[in-house]
Amino acid sequence: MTLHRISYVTGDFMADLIEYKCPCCAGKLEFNSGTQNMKCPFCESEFDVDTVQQYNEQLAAASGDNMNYSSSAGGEWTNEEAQGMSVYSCQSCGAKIIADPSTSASSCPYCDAPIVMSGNLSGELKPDLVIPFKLDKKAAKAALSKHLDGKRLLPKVFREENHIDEIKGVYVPVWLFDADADAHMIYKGEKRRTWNDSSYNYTEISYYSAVREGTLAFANVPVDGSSKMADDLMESIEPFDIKDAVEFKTAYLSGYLADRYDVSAEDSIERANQRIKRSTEETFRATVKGYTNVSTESSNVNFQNGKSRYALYPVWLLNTTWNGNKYTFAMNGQTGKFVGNLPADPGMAAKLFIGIAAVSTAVLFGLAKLMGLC
Amino acid sequence: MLKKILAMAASAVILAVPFSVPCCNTAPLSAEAAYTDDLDFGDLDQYFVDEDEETFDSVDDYDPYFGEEADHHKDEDSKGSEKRSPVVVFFFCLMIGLIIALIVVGSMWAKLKTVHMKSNASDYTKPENLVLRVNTDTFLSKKVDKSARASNNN
Repeated sequence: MTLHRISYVTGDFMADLIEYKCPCCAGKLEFNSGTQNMKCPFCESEFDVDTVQQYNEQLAAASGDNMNYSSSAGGEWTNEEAQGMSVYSCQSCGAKIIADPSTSASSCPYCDAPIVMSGNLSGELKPDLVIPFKLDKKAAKAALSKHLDGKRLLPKVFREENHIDEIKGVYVPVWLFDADADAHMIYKGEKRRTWNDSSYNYTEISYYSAVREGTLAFANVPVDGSSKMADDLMESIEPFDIKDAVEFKTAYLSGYLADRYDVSAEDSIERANQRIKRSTEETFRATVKGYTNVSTESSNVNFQNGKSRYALYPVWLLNTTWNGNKYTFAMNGQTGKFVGNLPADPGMAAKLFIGIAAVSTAVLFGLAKLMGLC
Repeated sequence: MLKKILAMAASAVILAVPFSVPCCNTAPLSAEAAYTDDLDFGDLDQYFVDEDEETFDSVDDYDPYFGEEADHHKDEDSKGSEKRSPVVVFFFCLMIGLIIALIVVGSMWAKLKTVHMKSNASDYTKPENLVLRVNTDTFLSKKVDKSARASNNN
């Protein structure tokens, strides 16, 4: 049921017209003096006045979502740390890559274009946490080979030409959001019962209002802090286990590249909110059981204890180009989860389609003959 | 993995459906099977007294309805084994073959795409993290619809 409050300002007083909509058909409810109930003139459903009033109050209390974070993510680099790191700029995509002086960085991990040293780390935030690489380059190469195996539609040339040795270990910047999602949800539940007698079929629909209010805690929801790293690629290699995260030290960057964030925590909040809100709604919805149909009447999610942190996540990256299209593969440097869309060979697909169709048809026709169907 | 299982299940169903009904109709039903279908196995001893006699003879001797039953099943067999035009059967097989090919190649194509956005943050919470303060279900109203049953005078 949805409440619409319409206010009219007339001279010195304000008159409120309260309109109640029928939960069954959304028609306008009217008071029925005969039954002393609220009745829908369209579907003839009747509602107890007190129930409607209580429901009215619940809906009126539901306000908009409030999703704010107190962000104190990131620390400051010490002079020693800042001077000990080199910053490279990609001439092609503009990525800013950090590496320690012992790591030779010559090409961009995102686009493979040459990178040049451009300065130091002044003015940048220092990560709060880092998950160190657990899997080495050898494991990444093995995962890539396994990823390409068994893909019959993969063009042979692509398999032969991909530059497996150019796989790079990169620390990708992420913002981690913690929040307690405090939700107030109102659902409409329907229970259906059918029976019949000698003359009629009967369907009874009982309507219920299910109210759920509570808190669901989320910890370390990551949002990609680099515009160069594709968000879908980064989310596809999730989850990372934060239990392995340690306080950031520049020593962890030795031998690897690190990207600097170029998407701020404030700009990343929206994505974190989307995911947290969706999970909250799904979890609360799962508590409404025993109904034939359930629909959400009102959803109100507020965040409490929201905070964000800045972290570096380990990712093995490989870029390759084929037929003018860029393909990027990523492996979770902690769990080994490997993803990356692959090109399909339309010619091979057509051949396989025709071959499978021909063999299937022949086998089926042969079976039909054997069974004497024709 | 799920797609693969679904594809295999769909293929199996497609393969099974066209042949399942004819199989039942065309399966030869032996006289012995027809006989035992209608009898309780617990009573078999009292019918088969002499093991040296041929089974079919003894069945005929003891079951006065056997002949009628067998004729009845013969009629059913002749209906089930009615032959269709090879062109129609081939066309039907071709359609099924194309569907199988589409499912298999579609599944191979889908395996090439492994990058997807996550829709939620379920990896970063646990069901036990949920603390419900209000958990109420209130009855609002009830509505009964009735519709006349279709008359069945046959």
